Amino acid sequence: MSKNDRLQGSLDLLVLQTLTRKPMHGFGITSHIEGVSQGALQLEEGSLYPALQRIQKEGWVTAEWKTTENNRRARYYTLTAEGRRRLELARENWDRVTSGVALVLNHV
Amino acid sequence: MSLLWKLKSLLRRGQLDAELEEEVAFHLEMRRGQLDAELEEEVAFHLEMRERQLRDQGLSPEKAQHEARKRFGNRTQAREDSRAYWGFRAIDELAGDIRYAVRSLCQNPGFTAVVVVSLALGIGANTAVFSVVNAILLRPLPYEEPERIVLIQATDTQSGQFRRRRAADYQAWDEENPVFERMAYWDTTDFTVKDGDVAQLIKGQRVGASLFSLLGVRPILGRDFLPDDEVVSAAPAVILSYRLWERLFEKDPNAIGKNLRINLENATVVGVMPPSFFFANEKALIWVAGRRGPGYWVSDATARLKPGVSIEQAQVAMETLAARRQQEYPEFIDDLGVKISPLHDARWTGVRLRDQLFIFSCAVGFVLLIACANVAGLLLVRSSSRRKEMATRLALGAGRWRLVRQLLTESTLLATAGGALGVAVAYGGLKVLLSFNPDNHSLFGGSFFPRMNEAGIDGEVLGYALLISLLTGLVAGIAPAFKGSKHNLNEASRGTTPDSGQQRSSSLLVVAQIALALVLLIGAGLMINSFVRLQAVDVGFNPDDVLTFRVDLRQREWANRRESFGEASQYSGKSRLANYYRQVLERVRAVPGVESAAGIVSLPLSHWTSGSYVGVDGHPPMEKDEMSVRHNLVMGDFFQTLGIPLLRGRDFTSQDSAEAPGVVVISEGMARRHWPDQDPIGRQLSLRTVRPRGRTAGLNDRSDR
Repeated sequence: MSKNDRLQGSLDLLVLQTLTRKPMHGFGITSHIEGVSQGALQLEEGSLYPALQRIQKEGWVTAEWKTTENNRRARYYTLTAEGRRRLELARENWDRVTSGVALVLNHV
Repeated sequence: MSLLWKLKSLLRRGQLDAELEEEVAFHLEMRRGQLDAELEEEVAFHLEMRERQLRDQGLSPEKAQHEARKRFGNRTQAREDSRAYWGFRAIDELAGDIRYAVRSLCQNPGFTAVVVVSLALGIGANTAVFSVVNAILLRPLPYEEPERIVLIQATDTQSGQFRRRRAADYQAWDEENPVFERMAYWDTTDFTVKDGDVAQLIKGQRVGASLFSLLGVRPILGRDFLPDDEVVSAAPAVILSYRLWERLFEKDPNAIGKNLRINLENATVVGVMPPSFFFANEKALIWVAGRRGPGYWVSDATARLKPGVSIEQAQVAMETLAARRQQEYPEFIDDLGVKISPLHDARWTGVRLRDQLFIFSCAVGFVLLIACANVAGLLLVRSSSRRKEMATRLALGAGRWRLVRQLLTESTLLATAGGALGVAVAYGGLKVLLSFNPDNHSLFGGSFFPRMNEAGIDGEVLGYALLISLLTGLVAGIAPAFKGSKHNLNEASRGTTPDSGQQRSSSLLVVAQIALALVLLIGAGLMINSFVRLQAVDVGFNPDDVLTFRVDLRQREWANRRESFGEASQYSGKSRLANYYRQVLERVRAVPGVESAAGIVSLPLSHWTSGSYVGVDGHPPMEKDEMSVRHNLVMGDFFQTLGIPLLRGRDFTSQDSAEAPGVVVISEGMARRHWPDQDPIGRQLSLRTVRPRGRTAGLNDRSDR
């Protein structure tokens, strides 16, 4: 997501959605979002980690250190049940906002 | 001052700096270090992965590293934002503020010392007074549910004055009343306690057997009094205070069951109370179970209200009982009233100590306010010399609130240092205060002694000192902080003329300070004035170089009377008693350095004086008030010993013995009242309680006080 398009809570939404598939480390989350959005969304990578800290403190994810396939230590984040519920809410909210924005834009 | 020096040297070395930080962050340090390290590792991993990815895309290693960092953005920001979620940012900033404040105060040791010392005086005085107020007024009495314990006092319905009653009256009330769970009479008195060959006069209390169970305090050794202890034929049971147990038995657990001679009776020690226990009078060291028969006269009773019964209900119920008792025994009892009061408040009856403490608290409060105004003034002056510093910080992007916080941190730090020194001041001040503690500041004749000696520097007092220190820091610092942080850059760069607003607040402070100081000064002046006048009061005698001591044979006399009338006893007759005292006086006179010696029943200005009605021959009938006189029995060279001049007639002589016709010496006041414009010498008068008739022998100066 580019700097000038930072909608409230959208980073949380992306991170939580990404983690629904499997536990991932921070770099994995970044690459996944970049890949899936075909480069349209580029995270300001530095802001991901404070966000992860916050989300963890909220109890939406848990973190644990594991080894990667290449035998490197990395911190993996796992979505919690509470995180899933939060994601549902955030999605609904997002849908409402985007459809609202679309309505305004399409109004002649 | 050594504490101050230590503080200063600590400040110089910057140790306090490190210590403060250590204390604030110590328990968080470990966790925070770990969190930091983990975040660092996570970020490093991220960068490494990104670099590898970019190299795989064909970038040179240097370019890959550069690009990875660029895409990551501000690492420091990421770290600080993360820390904010861990909750460390506030602590970091506070620690920074404190560090900065310590450094800036160290650069100005003179200013710091003046502020700390003046705050120390203010806070110290308040802390000392608080510890006294806390001990006397605030702390609940150390009994079970003290709010349900009341004091019952018999009164005179007409004058409302307290009266002594027969223990039997209280016992009857105990059985009849519907409002109390339990009730016990008590009376503070002196006991002659004989342990081995040594007899001592020890203050104690004669109590109803249920007193301790009523209060909810159990002996730590032995047993409580039992109803059987009130049976007349039983040997008197006594319970010792911890202190007396220590003194007489050196804390021997086998003291229980031992015999003590108390007022010539063989009494049995049945228990020892906990060290902190006291009831009504802290000096009472021994408790003797009262017995039903002899009909002691006692001063008060204490009772525990039944749950849900109010003091007012109890008052009404007891008034009914008092009226009934009066109807039953009209020949013994007249004007019998009763007053119920909460035990906690009862100690203030007749004593204006509560008001005095309030005035005292206000006075030290003013002192602290003056100190605050003083410090605020100094801080204002200091802030005008720091205009450049503040302007620079504002220019560098510090928010106004940030500067206010910084300045408040400084003043709070100063106040805390003042508070620490103030506790030392309070400790010293308290010692002085306690040394003034008047023994007889007590209710109804010395039987109630407030718990002033419990005052000390304890947790509550330290908490109070900390609280007022923080408050002082805020109060003294708030105005200078807002003033000091309000600078505009133009002015600061132009020069250092203080703006008019600053001058205005300075003069406001000075006005407030002078007003407060004036109030204090007037109060102190009035107090000193009344003190001087009290000192200058002519008490009618000369107390210089006069020593007093007590010998009490009343118990001996009572015991003899009670034990047997037939058995000849050395002191059974009044003349023998007089003989004994005469011998005492002779021996005292023989002591080198003694000029004269005299005996008296109750000392001048002491609480208990005897009163009776006087009848004067040839005088028209008098009102009760007019007939009432205070009198005292004396022997030896009483007037000479106390330096009371004899105006007319003669002093007592050794010829005025028990067998001779009774003689009295009257005061000038009485002469004026009963024999106006006549010579009272040689006139007849009668006193109800002393020997039936006496002749006026002398007239002395103003001893009617």
